[in-house]
Amino acid sequence: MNPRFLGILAFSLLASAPAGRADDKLALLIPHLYGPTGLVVDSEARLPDGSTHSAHFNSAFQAEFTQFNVAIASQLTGLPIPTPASGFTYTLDPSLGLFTRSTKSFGPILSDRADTVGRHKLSLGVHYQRFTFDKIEGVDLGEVPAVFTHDNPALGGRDDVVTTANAIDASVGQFTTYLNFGVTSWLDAAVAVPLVSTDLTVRSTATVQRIGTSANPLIHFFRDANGAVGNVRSFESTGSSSGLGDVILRLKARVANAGPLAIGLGVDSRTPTGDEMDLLGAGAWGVKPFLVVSSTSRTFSPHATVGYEWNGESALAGDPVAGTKAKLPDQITYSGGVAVAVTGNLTLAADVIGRRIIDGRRLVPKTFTSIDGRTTFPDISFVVTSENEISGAVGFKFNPRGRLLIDANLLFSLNDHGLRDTLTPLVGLEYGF
Amino acid sequence: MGQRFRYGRTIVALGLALVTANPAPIGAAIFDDASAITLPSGNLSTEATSIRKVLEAYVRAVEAKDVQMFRAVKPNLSEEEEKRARMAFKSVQSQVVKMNVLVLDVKDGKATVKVSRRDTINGSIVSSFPQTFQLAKETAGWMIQDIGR
Repeated sequence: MNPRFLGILAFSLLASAPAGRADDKLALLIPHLYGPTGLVVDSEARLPDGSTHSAHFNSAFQAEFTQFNVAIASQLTGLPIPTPASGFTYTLDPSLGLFTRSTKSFGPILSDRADTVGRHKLSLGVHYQRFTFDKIEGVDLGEVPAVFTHDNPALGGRDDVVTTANAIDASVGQFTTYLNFGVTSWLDAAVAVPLVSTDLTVRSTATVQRIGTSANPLIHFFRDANGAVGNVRSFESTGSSSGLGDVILRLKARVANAGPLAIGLGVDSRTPTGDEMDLLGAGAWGVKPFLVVSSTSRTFSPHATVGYEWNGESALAGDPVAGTKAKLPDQITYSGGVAVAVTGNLTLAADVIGRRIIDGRRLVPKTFTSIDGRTTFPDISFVVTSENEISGAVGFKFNPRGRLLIDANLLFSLNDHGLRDTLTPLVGLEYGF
Repeated sequence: MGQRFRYGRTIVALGLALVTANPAPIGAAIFDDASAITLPSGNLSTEATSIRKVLEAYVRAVEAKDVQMFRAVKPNLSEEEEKRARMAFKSVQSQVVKMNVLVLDVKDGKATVKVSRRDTINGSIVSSFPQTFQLAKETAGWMIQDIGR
């Protein structure tokens, strides 16, 4: 494949990305699902002063479900840079003066190895992966229950609750172009430029549960389109955005070799170039130093990485409605796996990729018990805790000709923590110049 | 008794011969006639010419990825080395070798050639490194005995 073609393709895709709209920000979609004043049911009850009872109901779903935004942002920040065209590494056999491929393996796909690309060598890669999220903390995104309680709940009319059944369709497509340059034989500088498209739809079916007002349905009700008194109303909000995500700058050095073992040190700097309010980026700087250990045997190349990511403040972790910022959780990232050269043209890669999000806000399923002590409904709440999100990845790199590599990978969940996609496909091309 | 001819740092400073062996002109001279190298006359010229031909052959073998040609200039190639050479040739699609001769010592039928080498692998991957060739004059002529850094 013509390298110039690859460059033009990547540039065209970058240039053609539509910008996100200024209004209708995705980060506000859930907080504004029930309107700017929140979930308010209809009422014909009269207060002592003669005014109409304004029955406002609250829930962690609306008040705290910004955690969902953080979870999406976390996914965007947690996406590893695919290993840049490291497949073609050569070492000198000094006693013959000949170069030979240091490994037949083309290396991992979503993990990394200590090898660098080589002095003054350039590699270009494009990868596309699409997440269609299925679960959050093990809760099916198609059935997220949330109970809204009355303002100042108390026995009687204020004992009523509104139960909601919520379905969230969330998908993120990420097209990443990256360039990797060998500054020296042991030091690489790389930049990864992601284009992100995010689609989010939230549907909520709210049902008035008249625990304390069963005798008078006019105190809390939903009026239907015909003006009749009912107890169910559906809400839906949808939006999409696309544009530049968070650009990542990387320096990676191969610092030591001991036999087949190589040790690398690197640092990723994530710049907040993606609009966090449109869920295109994290909205915060991030710095992640990391250590890579890998072996460069001929066919079987194991590798492992560990890193720590410091994150700055983002509106997503704070209050996107008020625009106040809070610190995005730091995380420890780790991965380990093996790349196996099946033939000189085909490498299979398998990895376990994990991260421990430190003091992150997490959804917890719970059972809501009404003030009457008898009525229960499924509900959610949020706690601050540290958990490991672990995924598996299997894929291959195929070398059809020259220094072109075709990559394909499947990422899958190995546990239920975090916002998860059961199966995430990735396809890509790499070319070394 | 052999003579010792040393082209050391001085020659480097003069911008020593850029030794070019491109696959296209297979017979291109390793010791470029237009280079700054001043070859002494007499025996040295003869020896230098012979050594040059050996290194030319070595470069041709590398660029042609030909083990037999490689063995012809380095006849003491062991089985294990030959296996490594085959593997190396197989893993490289193309290779262009350039040598910059730094030192040439000839003494008692032995020669040491120190070069700075620059290889282009597969059209773009460039590596520069020093290399030392130990040669011995045998019945059939000069042969490479050892290659090192």
